[in-house]
Amino acid sequence: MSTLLEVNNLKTYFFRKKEPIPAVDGVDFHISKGETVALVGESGSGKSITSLSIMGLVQSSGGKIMDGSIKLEDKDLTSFTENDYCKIRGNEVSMIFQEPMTSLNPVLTIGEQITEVLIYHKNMKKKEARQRAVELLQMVGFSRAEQIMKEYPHRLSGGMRQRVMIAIALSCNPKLLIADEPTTALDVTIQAQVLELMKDLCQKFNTSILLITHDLGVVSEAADRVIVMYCGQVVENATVDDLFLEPLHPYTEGLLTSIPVIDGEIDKLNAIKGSVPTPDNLPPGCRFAPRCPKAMDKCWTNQPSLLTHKSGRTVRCFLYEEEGAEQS
Amino acid sequence: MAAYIIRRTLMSIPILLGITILSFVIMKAAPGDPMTLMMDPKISQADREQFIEKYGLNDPQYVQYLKWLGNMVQGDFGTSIVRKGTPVSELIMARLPNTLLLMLVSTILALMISIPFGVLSAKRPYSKIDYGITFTSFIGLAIPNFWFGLILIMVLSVNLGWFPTGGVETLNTEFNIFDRIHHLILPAFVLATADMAGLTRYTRSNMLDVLNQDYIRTARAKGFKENRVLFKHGLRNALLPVITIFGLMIPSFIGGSVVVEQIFTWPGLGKLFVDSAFQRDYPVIMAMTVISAVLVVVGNLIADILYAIVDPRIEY
Repeated sequence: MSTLLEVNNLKTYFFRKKEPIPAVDGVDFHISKGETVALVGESGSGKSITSLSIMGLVQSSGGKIMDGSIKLEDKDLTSFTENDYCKIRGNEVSMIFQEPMTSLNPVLTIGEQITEVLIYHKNMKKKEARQRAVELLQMVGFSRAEQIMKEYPHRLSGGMRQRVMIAIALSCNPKLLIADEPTTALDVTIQAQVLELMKDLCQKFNTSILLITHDLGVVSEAADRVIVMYCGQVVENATVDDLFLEPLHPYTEGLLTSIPVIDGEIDKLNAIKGSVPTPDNLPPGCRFAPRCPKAMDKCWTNQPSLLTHKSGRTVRCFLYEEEGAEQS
Repeated sequence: MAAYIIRRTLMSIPILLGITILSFVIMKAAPGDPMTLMMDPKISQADREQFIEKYGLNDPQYVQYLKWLGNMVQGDFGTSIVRKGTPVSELIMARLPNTLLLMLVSTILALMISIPFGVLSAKRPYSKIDYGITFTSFIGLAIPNFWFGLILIMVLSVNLGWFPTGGVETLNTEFNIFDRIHHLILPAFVLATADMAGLTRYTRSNMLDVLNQDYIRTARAKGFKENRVLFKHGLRNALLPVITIFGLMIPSFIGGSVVVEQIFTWPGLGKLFVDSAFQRDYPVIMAMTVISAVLVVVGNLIADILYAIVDPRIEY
């Protein structure tokens, strides 16, 4: 599989009173064509900022890409001007957001909101775009697509709105779909539906997915590979099977044991002690050290780098240094 | 929608009735009467009484009111007491178009200036442009329009000679649209200032609010250029509350036009209103009250209907 997106040493900082706050601090990963990669981590770990950096939308929320590169096929997106980006966004890379209830414009019809993208990016005529929009709505499971075209968002439920968002995102056959917690705000019954729909359509269009979530259930269901983020850094990168069978990083292990098991009889729910440090107040050594049950002396003072484990997975932890892993 | 309009129109009848009763009572309670003002002090008692009788001013007040109401409903506003029997409707019809023109133009002016400036302000909040616009708006809010009008006349008309000092057209000339516009610019601008400032501030804060909404992020994620995001996806949402505010501003336009018409010797209703109030010309005052009340009620009705048209979530 050839590489679609390659992110290298991405650093996205925010500024408070000229003081830099590293929200994303040296992130590396890649996504192959047609692959679904999940980006996992607690709130504040930098997953959303990573995705906004790829979309080039981080400036409008006050952040700045300080270093690194984001390569989409052979184009370096970090060197793009706003005008260049406008041609890519919604066209080659598109995005679905967490809040379907508020992500659609309340005063425009569903039809208008889908056709405008087609007219803008694909230079379609109004009639042509309408036809395509009806097809797209049918594809995301609306049986009365013609009527839905004329409806306003407030008449639709959350699940329906998210399906409309998927239709909009896929309208221009993007190469990459970034889904930022697409099912978090939905009913559990609808979650599976939406997820499956997204997977199916992306397979049909050969679109890669970057799935951002903190729901490991969603990960196991939808992703091929998982990237675990903590405090703006990648701490582990593995295939879904490997990760769930044998988590390497103590943080990943913590996340996995935090999932409640329904059939097991447990009195107490496991949790990772402490909370995520804020990016303006990071520990000097390993960022997970204060919460890590396996922390060693050097973890408090030295920062581990991303190592390639013998199984070919990468992990950022001193525990695996002795096992003959080499620095990547 | 039609049912709503009919219901609202019917609802405005008691409102208008209440307004006329209140104004009638207050007007009658004010000291003085038209006779003492306009009559020769040496007039005989008999003549005086005959005059009072002729205008029905001896009847009890509720009879006077009911008589007036009865005539008004049939479209008869009576005759002016002071202006020797000229029908009130004639007096008003001669001036109403001028006032409506002035109000309409300054409304359009206020909207055309304040909305773009409000958007510009919100586009880069806390920038130099924003501070400049904010500063200017506060000045606009703070300046009383009679003073602003006088200063503009002094500087632009008297000193620089760019604009006429007053009136609707150059006297003794044929109708000329450019001459009319030339006369209209200053009074319309002065009348628009206060509301312009308020509307700018209001557009700014609504727009700022809207720009933080998720659907604006969606619009950006679709790849649209900034202006399209602002004007197509932002502005329509930001203008919803502005419509309501605009309905509430109509009374200030009527009140403001009284002052502005005086300063620019604009032959509109405002001047007639002030003169009649001083002279206790009861029929004219009442007619004016009805007209302003109708303007306010209709203006708000239009604002509500517009709201429903612009915002699909509202259904009547």
